[in-house]
Amino acid sequence: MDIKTLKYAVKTSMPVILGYLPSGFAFGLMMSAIGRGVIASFIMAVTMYAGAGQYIAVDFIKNNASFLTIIITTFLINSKHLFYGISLIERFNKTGKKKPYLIFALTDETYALLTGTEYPADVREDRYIFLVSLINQLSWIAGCTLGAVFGSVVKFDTTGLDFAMTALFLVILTDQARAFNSKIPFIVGGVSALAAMLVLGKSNMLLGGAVLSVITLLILHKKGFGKNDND
Amino acid sequence: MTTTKLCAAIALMAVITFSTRLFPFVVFGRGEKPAPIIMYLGKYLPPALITAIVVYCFKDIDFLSGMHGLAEIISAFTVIALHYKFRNTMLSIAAGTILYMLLLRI
Repeated sequence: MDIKTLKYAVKTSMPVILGYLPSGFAFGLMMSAIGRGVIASFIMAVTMYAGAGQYIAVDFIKNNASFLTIIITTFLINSKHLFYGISLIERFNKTGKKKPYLIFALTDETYALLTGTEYPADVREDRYIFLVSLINQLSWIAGCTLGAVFGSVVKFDTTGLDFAMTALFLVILTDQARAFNSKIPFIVGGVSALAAMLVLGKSNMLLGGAVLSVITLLILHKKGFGKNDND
Repeated sequence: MTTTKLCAAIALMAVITFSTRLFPFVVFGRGEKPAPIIMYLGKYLPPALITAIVVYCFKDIDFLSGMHGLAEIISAFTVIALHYKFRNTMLSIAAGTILYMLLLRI
C-alpha cells in the first residue's frame, strides 16, 4: 500500500473520523447502559455499520422488540440506501475484489466523501476509495467499542443518556426539513406514528407508523403528489 | 432480550442493511432506470420515516407528572436550534443530551 494514497485517504476522511468517533462512543455508552456492552457493540459496528440503524437497535434491544418490528423498521430506515449506489456504479465496477466491501461500507458519510471530494490524479482510485471506506469504518468501530468500554468501566448515572438517539433523529429531521419544500412527507410520518400509537399501542407504533407512511405516500402519489420536482 | 435473540437480531439487521446497500448495484448495474414509483418512495419515504421515529422517541413523555415533558421539549428545541444555526451534528447531539441529563437532575 503506497503511503501517498494512504495520506490522501486519511486527509479526506478526517471530518468523518471526527464525527464517527464521538457518535460511535455515544452508541457504545447507550449499549452499556442497557447491559449489553463491549462485545455486542463491537460486533454491531463490524457487521451492521449503520448510524441510525444501530441507534434504533438499542431501543429494540431495550424493549425486546418483535422480529417483525426489527425486520421492517431496519429495512425502511435503510430504504434511502436503495438508490445511493447508482451514481457510484461505474467507479465501483473498476475496483475488482474490493467491490463487495465498498458496497457494504457505503454509509451516508462515506457516500458524501466519495461523491463530493476531489483527489490528485496520480492516486490509484480503487485503493483510494477502499482506504477511505476502511478508515471510516475503523473509526466507527473504535468509537462504538471505546464507548462501551468506557460505560462498563466508569460507572455513572446514565439516566437520560438515551436522549442521544432522539437528538440524532432530530438532527436528521432538521437537515431534511431544509432540503424539502413540501411539508407533506413530514406530516404523513408524524400523523402515521400518532395514529399507530393510538390504535396499536406504543410497542407496535414504530412498525405501524412506518407501514402507514408507505401506504399514505402511495395514495397521495395516486392523487398527484410528487409528480413535479417542486415538492 | 435474550442473548440468543440478540444474536439473531444483529444477524438479521446486518443482512438487511447490506441488502439495501447492494440493491442498486444488482438492479441498476447495467444502466436500467428505476421505476418512477420507486424513485418517488426513495425521495419521500425517508423524511416521513424520520418524523415517525421522532414521534416514537417522544412516546414516553409524561405530561401529567414530573416535569410534564418540559425537559424533553426544551432539549429538543435546543437540538433543532443549534443544528439550524451551526449544522454541526456532534455539537447538536452532545449539547442536547447533556442539557436533557442536567434538566432531569434539577
